[in-house]
Amino acid sequence: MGLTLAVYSALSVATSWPLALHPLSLQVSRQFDIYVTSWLAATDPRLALWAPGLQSAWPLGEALSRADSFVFMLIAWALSPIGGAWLAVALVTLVGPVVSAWAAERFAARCLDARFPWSLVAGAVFGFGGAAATTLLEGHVYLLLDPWLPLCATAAWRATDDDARPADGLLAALWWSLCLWTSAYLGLGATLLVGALALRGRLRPAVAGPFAALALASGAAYVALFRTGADAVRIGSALAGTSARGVIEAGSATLGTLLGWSPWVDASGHSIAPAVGGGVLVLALVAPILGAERRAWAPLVGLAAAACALALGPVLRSWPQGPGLPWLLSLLDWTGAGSFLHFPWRFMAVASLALGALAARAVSDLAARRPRLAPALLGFVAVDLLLSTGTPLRTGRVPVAVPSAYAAAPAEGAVLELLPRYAGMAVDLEIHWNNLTCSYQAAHRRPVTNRCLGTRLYSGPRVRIGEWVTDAALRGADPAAVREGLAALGVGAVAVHPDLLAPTERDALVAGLEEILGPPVARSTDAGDAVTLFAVSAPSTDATARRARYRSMFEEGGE
Amino acid sequence: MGRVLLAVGVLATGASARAAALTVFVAVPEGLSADGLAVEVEGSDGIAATPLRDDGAVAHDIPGDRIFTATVAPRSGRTTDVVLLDGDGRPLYAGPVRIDDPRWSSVAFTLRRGPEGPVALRVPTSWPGGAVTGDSDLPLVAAAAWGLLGVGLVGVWLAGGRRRGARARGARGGS
Repeated sequence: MGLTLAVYSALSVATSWPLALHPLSLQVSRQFDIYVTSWLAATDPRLALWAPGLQSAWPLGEALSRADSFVFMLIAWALSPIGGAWLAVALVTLVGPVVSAWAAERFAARCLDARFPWSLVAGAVFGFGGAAATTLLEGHVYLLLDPWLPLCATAAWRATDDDARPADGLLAALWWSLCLWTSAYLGLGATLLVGALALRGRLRPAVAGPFAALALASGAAYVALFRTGADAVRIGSALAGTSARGVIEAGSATLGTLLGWSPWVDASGHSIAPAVGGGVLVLALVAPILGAERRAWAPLVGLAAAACALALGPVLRSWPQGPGLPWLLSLLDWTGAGSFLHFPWRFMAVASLALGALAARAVSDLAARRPRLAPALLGFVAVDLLLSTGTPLRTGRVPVAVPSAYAAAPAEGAVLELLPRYAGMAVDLEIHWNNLTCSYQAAHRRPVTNRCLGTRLYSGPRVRIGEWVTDAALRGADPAAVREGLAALGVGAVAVHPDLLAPTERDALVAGLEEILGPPVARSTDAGDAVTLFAVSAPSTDATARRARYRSMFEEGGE
Repeated sequence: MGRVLLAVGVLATGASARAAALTVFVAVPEGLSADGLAVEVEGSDGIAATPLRDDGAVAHDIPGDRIFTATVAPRSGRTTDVVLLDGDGRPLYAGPVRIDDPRWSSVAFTLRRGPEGPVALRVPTSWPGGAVTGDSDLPLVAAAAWGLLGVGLVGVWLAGGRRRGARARGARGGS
């Protein structure tokens, strides 16, 4: 076990390099969701788990009951006395893959009889393969701490043995629940996994009963908590049938990204390239020829095939750009609820577990027949992983810093971020800046008008109040009326990011804001983001009045 | 004399003949109509209305994303008056816009539902960035790789079938 953990620790440090050198002052993800992950780590779940909290989406608030990962929220909260938000992020990024890989290695060793050190292949593929690399680069790093899926597979495997006990069913349900509470997607993946493994043997009622009871109770609790946030978070995008297809298409794999990555994937494709690697794939497929039992091989290959098929989402494409054919998840168009499933590629975690374990067994069998060949194969698998994931060459090196101007924001009231309107291919920058300015909250500790959980483009209080203020500033509206409106909404500071604005409008906007709010209270150019901060005097402290004012100004006319 | 020199200078630089292009963006949320949206500016031939379209005609724009665009050529100057019109010819916005930066002149609006119909809010545009294009060869590489994998698997399956057949024939011959 010690050597296994040492190997995986070295891999974790290498694939996330140079995070280990600067765990609290650097982040290595490439995409913008890392910022809301850090925001989530900085929130206090006691304040907003059941009802909308005012840390974000001020003055309406957002409930954390629709956060992606409750397990991560709990870990971050437990760590909060000893470190900031980025401590939890760094910890799951560095330690998560080690624990996940170890659990996958144990699955391959215990259930498929893969022998050490060849069983390491299973952990390497699961903990450091394309799905894990996508998780790291996209910023959903809490998914890296996922020993639950392999542990669930191990328990479900035992539960279908002839001598299975009720405790095996209970254990499988426990790991299934932890998958669900880590991410709903992992819960779906674990459900697929349990269903596939149930086919390999006879599942006795004495074992299935405890599993079903605990899984149903846990699932019902999750659904109940999820539903408490229905009116505040994500309801728009989740139920907008017209946008559902677009949302899940962006989070799907393609035939090409299942094979590898390219610079384009990082620049415009959200870094989604959950490739397994051709060598691993071939090893997994030829495993029964080399010695794996067909009774063990068939359900795992079937599981991997199903997971790959689901990961392709609603359109079968060769590459993210270009034509495609309607595919499995296009059926969700009929329900209009498809955007609940933002990231079909996450099914590849299940595929990488199954294929990695089978590849480990294949290498193990080869080592028994040709002892000299197996070490070379191990090297081949390592190169295969390196080429198919591209880590650590693809990781970002982004300092974690907050512009110093925010320190001048008044203690009372929320921060309103004024961001430009992006169009065309650059529209993702809207979410980038929304999420980045959410992460600033961990330092300035003021409420923000940004939505930090709902990820719908151009919606929510930041956008609506911001449009109203920028329109007033650019048109030269009555300054007193704007000041009164901002104060009534409880806005205490307005932050402008001049470098983001087209030069023809930058000066006019800042001049208009000076007309309304007086000279800025702070300007800063540090942390890679120029910020000009204006203060609003006497922001309202009456939460009910603030919400009523917001609704009268922005909601009566419709979103 | 000064006027003559100014006229010569203007003619030499071509400033009077060159109209700065202004790109107009209008974001139209779902549920609001964009039928007949047009922008009116004074060009070298007088005031003219240009329809806004969602056809991706502006560089890096995406057709069908409900951001309607038009590129107009106002008379040169530091500013121009822009009037945004709805389908009934009703002005949704009227005001001056700077057009003196030869690198990029733009104006953006977002339509919102108001008590008496749609209203246009002026929103600042971003500093224009580059666009990323896809790798043109990669779809072909991906398709070829999957094809090779499929052919390889069929080959392994056929070879396995032949071996099993030979073993079965050998067993029958032996018996």
